[in-house]
Amino acid sequence: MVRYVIKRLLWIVPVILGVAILIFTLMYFTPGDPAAIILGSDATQLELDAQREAMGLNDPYIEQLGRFLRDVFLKGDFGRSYITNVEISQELAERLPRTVIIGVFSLLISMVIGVLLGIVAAIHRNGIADRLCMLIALVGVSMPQFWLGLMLVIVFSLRLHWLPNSGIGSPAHYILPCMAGSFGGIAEQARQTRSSMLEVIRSDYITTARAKGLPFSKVIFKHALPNALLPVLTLAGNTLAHVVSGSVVLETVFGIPGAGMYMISAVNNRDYPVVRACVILIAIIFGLTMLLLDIIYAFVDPKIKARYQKTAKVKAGGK
Amino acid sequence: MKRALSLILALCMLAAFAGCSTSGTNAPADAPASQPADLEQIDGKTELETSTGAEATGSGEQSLVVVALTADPGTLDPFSSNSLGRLYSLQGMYETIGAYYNGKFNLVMAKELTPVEDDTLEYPAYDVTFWDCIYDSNGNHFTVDDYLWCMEQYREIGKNTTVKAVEKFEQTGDWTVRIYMNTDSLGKFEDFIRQTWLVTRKSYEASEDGMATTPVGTGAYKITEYKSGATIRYTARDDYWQKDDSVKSAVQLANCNDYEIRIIKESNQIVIGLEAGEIDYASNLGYENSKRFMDGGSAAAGHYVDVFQNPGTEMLYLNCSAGSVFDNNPKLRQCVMHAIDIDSIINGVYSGYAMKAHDIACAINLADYPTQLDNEPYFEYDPELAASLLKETGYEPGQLTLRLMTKQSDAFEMMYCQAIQQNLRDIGIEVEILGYENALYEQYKTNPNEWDIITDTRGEYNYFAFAWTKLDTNNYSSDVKSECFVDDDHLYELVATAASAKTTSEEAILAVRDYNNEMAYARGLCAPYRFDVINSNKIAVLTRGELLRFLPGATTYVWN
Repeated sequence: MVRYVIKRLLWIVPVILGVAILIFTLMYFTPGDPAAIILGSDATQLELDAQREAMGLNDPYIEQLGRFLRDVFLKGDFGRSYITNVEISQELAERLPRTVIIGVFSLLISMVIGVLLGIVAAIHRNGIADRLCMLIALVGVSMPQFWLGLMLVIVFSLRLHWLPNSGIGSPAHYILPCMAGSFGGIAEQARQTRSSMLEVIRSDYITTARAKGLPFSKVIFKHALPNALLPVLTLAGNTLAHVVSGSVVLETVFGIPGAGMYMISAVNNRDYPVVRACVILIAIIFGLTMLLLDIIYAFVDPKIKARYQKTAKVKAGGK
Repeated sequence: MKRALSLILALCMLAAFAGCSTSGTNAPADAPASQPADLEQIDGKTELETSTGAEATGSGEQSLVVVALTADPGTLDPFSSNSLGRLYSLQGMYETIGAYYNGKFNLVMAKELTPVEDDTLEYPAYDVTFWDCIYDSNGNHFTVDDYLWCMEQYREIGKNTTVKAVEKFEQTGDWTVRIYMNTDSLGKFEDFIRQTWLVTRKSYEASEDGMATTPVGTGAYKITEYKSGATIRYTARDDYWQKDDSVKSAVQLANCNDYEIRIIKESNQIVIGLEAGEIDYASNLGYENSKRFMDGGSAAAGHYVDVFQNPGTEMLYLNCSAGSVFDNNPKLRQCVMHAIDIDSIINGVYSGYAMKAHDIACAINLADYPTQLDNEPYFEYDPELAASLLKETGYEPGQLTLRLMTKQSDAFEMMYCQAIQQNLRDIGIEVEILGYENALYEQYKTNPNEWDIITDTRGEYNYFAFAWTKLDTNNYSSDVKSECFVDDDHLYELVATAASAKTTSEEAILAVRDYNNEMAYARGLCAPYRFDVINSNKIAVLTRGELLRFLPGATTYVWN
């Protein structure tokens, strides 16, 4: 298992390299002039030309790519933002935790509530509880995050004065964004859990467990749920992997200066170093999340763990 | 059953969307057909009234003043180019030689500023005498050496283009510097003076990030907390260097101990913050977002709305490059100009809250604006004339398609482009609207193959003649020439004459206008009004500084 993990970690490196080259190339060929954004719309054309030269934007593609790969992979330096001239790693170190907090807590809330709703729906299939849960799921999937966010602000901040409406500064500032971010996830998790549970509940071993007289809760939570969790975990993993890219709407609505907004702002401003850094970061998060998911699979499903161990033994024996 | 339920939910969602205002750029909703009742037409100008809410009912105790800003300053270092976000964020903390507001120059770090009387000089020069008691918030003394060092930094870093108007600096005394300009274009010196923030070298070099997040200035306030992209907290300095209140300019006052700028990009959140009392001032909210705070609105209590002319004119330029449809075709250009119904744009797009331009730009308290222009016809809307001009150019209705390029980030620009599209369609010209994000727009602006008509905005300016900047060929390379790409030396001579401090005059300004009216290369459209919402429970009398930016330190509060 350890060997498997190390191998997966090593595989991330060439993937990140490929992503870096790809994003660099894409940004290189994307039209748009960062010099004009830096100098403003009243800058003369001569001033813009001089600025482009100073930024190295007139250098050949290979030279620019080489410089970029050397700085990122050999020096670990993402450079400075074209617009703010602040170290990108410093900005990300400040912004990423905010995005991760929203993403992780939204995910946790959506998993807890979504899985419970899914279980209830599965147990009471075609009953009132099932229809109610699925109605909540339908509403959650249909409702746009920005609309929900604003409605939550109007209710809890403007009318009830319970929570702040925007910004950062205290844990209370994260409550509404997490609520808004979790709603769609609750819906997805509920539907996925219901579907998985229905499949598992029909299994012979569940029938056996019930026939043996086990308490109903034990049948569901000890026998059925672990087997139904794999697709749910996959969904959770995908959600977590998109924590940076998927947070832009919430960050914009709630005025949270997170990594998502940082990236979108950089795309609009053609702040190439920031865009590259954010994409590489997303690739790393994705890779690590998938690895984490595989590890969790192994713990949840002993068959998968045995398969990993068997594969490792075969390869070791093959040497 | 499920399908019916889904359909009902989707319809409910649509209905809810229709009730929400749009975000980000204050896009207008349905507009009233007539002028707003609180505007009066006086002598061709529109007098703006301020709507007032309830009387200030604050307790008299000082509290934090919160200002909402949609534009993120990005960096707080002194030497980067000055966006709107930076100008709002850096004033009060950094200082300059002087600030320009109320129609005149107000000295700040300079004790004296005098033009040099020397006929041998080709371009203007100025003598600046600094105060000898300037200290920054770290206690470092600001000297002429620091000033010269700052200017070196500006040149080396190169992001602040105003310094390019200066030829050289010369120290002429312990506290005096002579500034030699390399141009006599109107407004260049003022722009340079008011946009070059000054810091001490010692404090700058002690900063780990070039003051990007840890600025140290000589201003009446210091930044005590900065969360990038979120908040900037300012606290009044007890040790501010200027002790003589009689010589302080407005930017040097500190009527509130603490104020905070909150960066909120979502305009709906700003409105909610104002209603909830969390925000005390918000600028440029637009009519739809502001009307609830006006008299009779649902949130009028404790608020008032300032409605006034914003320094900034929407403009239209025609691509007259060699081989374009407008090249050597003044009749077609006149046709387009006369086809535009600016009154319906003002009423429809801006709900009546915009001032019609009578020249390339609207004059907002500019001393050199020839006021008689307000009564003279300017590209009057005449669809019949436009249609006949189109016929004379040889185009049949429907035969010609023009590309109208604009910034898609500005909802108002997109809307008036649609109005222009309809106006031109009415006379038989098809228009394709090309809305681009800012970066692409700026790139395509100087490419004559990308557009036929372009919208642009002329922002801050101190002299009316400066508004012709985009037709000043000195600002462009030899192959681009100007915003219109036109090869017209006579135009450029006229613009240069009007823009030069030595040769400018009312006649020169009128000459440019008259020539452009004849050749129809460009036109001004309108200057939208600005709606600022103010918390009257805290703010008694709002004070504005340069280009009508809110000055928290100079404002009078209920506790003053």
